[in-house]
Amino acid sequence: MTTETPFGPPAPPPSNRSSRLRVSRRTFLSGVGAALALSACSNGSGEPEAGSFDAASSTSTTGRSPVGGAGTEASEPPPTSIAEEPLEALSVPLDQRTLVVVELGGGNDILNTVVPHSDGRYFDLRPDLAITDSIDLDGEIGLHPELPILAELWAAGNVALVEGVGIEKPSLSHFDSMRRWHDGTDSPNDTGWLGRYLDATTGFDDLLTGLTVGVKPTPAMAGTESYVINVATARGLAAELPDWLTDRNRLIDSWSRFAPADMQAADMNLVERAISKTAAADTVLTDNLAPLLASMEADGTMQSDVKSTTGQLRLAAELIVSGLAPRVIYVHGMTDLDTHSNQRGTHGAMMYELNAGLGYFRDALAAAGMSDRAVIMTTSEFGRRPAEAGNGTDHGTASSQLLIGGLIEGGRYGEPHNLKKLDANGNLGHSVDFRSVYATMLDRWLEVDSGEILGKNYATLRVFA
Amino acid sequence: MGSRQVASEREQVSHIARRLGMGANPDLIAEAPDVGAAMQLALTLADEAPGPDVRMPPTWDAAYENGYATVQKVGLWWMQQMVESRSPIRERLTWFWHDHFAISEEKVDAGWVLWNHLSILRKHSTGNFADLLREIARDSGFLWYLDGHFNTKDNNNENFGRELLELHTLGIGNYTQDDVVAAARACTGWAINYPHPDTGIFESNDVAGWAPYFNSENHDEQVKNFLGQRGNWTLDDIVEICLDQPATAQRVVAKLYRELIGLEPAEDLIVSLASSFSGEWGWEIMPLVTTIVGQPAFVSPESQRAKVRSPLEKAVSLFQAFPDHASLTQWPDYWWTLADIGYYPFGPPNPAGYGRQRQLLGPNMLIRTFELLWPMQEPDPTWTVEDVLPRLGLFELSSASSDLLSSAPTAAELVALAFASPEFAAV
Repeated sequence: MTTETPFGPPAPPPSNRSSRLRVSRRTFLSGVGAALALSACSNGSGEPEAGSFDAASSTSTTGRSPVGGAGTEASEPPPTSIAEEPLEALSVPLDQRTLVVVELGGGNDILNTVVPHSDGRYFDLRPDLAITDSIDLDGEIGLHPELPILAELWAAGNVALVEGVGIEKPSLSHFDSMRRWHDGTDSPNDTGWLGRYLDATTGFDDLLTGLTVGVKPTPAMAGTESYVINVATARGLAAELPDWLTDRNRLIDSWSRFAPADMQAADMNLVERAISKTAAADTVLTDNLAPLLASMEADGTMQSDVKSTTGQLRLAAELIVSGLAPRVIYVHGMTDLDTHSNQRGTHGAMMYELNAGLGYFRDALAAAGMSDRAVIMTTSEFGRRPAEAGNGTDHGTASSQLLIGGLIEGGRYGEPHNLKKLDANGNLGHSVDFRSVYATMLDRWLEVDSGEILGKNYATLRVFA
Repeated sequence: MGSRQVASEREQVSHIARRLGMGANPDLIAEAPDVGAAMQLALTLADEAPGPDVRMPPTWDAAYENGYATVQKVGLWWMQQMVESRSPIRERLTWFWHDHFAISEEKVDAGWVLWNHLSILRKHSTGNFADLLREIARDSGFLWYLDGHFNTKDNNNENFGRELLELHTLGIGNYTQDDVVAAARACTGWAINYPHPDTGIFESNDVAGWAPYFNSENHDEQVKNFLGQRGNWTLDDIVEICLDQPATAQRVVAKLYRELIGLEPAEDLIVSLASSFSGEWGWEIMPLVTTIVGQPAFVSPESQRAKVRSPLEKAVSLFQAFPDHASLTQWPDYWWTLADIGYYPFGPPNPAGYGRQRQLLGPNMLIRTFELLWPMQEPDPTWTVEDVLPRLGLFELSSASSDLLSSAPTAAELVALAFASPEFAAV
């Protein structure tokens, strides 16, 4: 990696991180629809439980904002553009920016997320599964009806839709595709693209630069000189001890002192480092998440709800507004969008969870005056096949990515999906390499040399205002 | 980091117990005077214990009523076998095959279907791989999890066929998308005899409720070209053609080698073991197992603690270590504790199975090791390191760990720290 990083002095230790607020240049939240969104999100009981994707229960819940209406007016899409030269600095200082990657695992059906409703072929390919009541964005495309908050964010000019994103020679395998999205390299790699980012920046010195929200750290954050803290509950890393362990602080302090001193195996070093780093992050996280825990207890949200995309985005928002301000948060591993069967109910329920999570996220950041500080980026290992198969869809190829944030220049980027030109397997072609989107985030939002991280230079997109 | 030293005999005996079984059973370790005896005890094939009382519900309503309770009952029974079984290797291999043919209760939320699936895994766990694959490929739970029952000639669903090729037999790179389509077409027509949600009447009278059955009307009778062979193939044919491919044996052998030895196998060894496995051994699993554990690498210092211990293995060891202080039968919620931590029977995150190595070293999973102690009563205040460490199968520790544990202020903290120590975090 380069010796001269654009980071300047090393980041201060987590406990010294500034939590002062800064007045936003633009707001993340459009005035229109805010109240509606709040009422939509405060009803935690309206969420479908993970694992029960019964079509009836996921589409007939009450207490949600009406579909369409406010916030569906399209903003003027900017011309698709590839940045050719460095652009002027963004208005939020680097140490206040967070990239939030939301992984829609299992292969999200992009055509039923962002619906090409003006294209008759879409309806021909999907006689049963076509979405007929999408929320129109610009006369050509519309959003799944369970995504009204995303429509409001679009109307506010805070959503960049990068269309036709894909990988070269797609294998249609979940695991091969996921591996490629996580690694960001052409050939298999033990490290992930964000792991190499962490290696090149704060490494082991600042454990809270990159966080995974999920039960396991994402492989995308696996590095060799860094360790990824993951949280799955609003308790942070505070384990609930049996009652015969009375002195928690003393126990965790002792635990953190298992030292790698004279162990012989490399793997054991990894274990010991994991233990000491975990113990070190424990109290910081617990303190920072205390307000979230309190608010969840107050509104009756169950801990298990943190395992939904909604809860995970709520947790991610708290990690930002509490002042931890990690550079990267990766929301990982709770969705199952592999909708080979029962797609309508399952996909709809997942879109509902995503929408509610976006609502929490938007409102929490707006309330803290931090709307410009985060960019959400969605990923998925592949889109699904345009033609339906029974009541589901098979593995596909190209997809679209959403980039959402106060400093994002809203509109459509890349090339719209071409349903006229499918490959021999009936799948879409792609026009944007997914690494172009990564490079855009690395170069512009995280201000590192994307070529160093990705091993190659990719064209970036002009998605920041 | 110097070269690794040969472990003491006790530590080697412990290594054998925790690698070939699901826990470092202290009774086995105490019974085995040396490595040879430990190997023999760990590879013993004792009779199976009677299964849990699981009945197929006759109607949809009955299924809805007790579906999840039955899932938990089956999961707990399974864990109980891991703790108590006199056949450690059967438990290790049953888990290995579950990881290989992964299905999840989050989708297959019917305990009787899971029980049937588990019975197939257990029956063949130390038996014959080809028989296991043949039976699993037609199992309700497996079809259900991979949408095999939604795959018809008019609506091809590629999920089952693709995962069968990618995960359970050949491995990626050994087939094309055209082969996936051919496999999917060949596997059309399979269904599960569900009761109708409104009437409660099973779809078929010819087979038991919830059993898989073949509906020829939905089967694609056309010729398929699969891996270069043309024919009117069926699901059974696809399984046989996959078994004929050297890639299948090589993939399974390499995976089992990693499971048992924890190191990356040499390519030529895999080719030779795979050739024996599918050839002279006729897919019999135990000759393969004994040959792998007979490799010098198995007892090498490099293999010692080369694998990260899963939360489930920690839990099994806990119950084995302190049977007077912790009992699984008194903690039926323990299954959910493990589920919440993210590693439990019938809970793989996806069809590729469970996380391993670094994925099990995430802070959340690591710190919640302490939560695995919930079912334990307060340790006896007189316990010392001499009492606690051998029960957990710990005979060699770094001097730093030794010092730390010796200076634990209470027996309770000693137990907790030993249980969460770096040495115990590896097998």
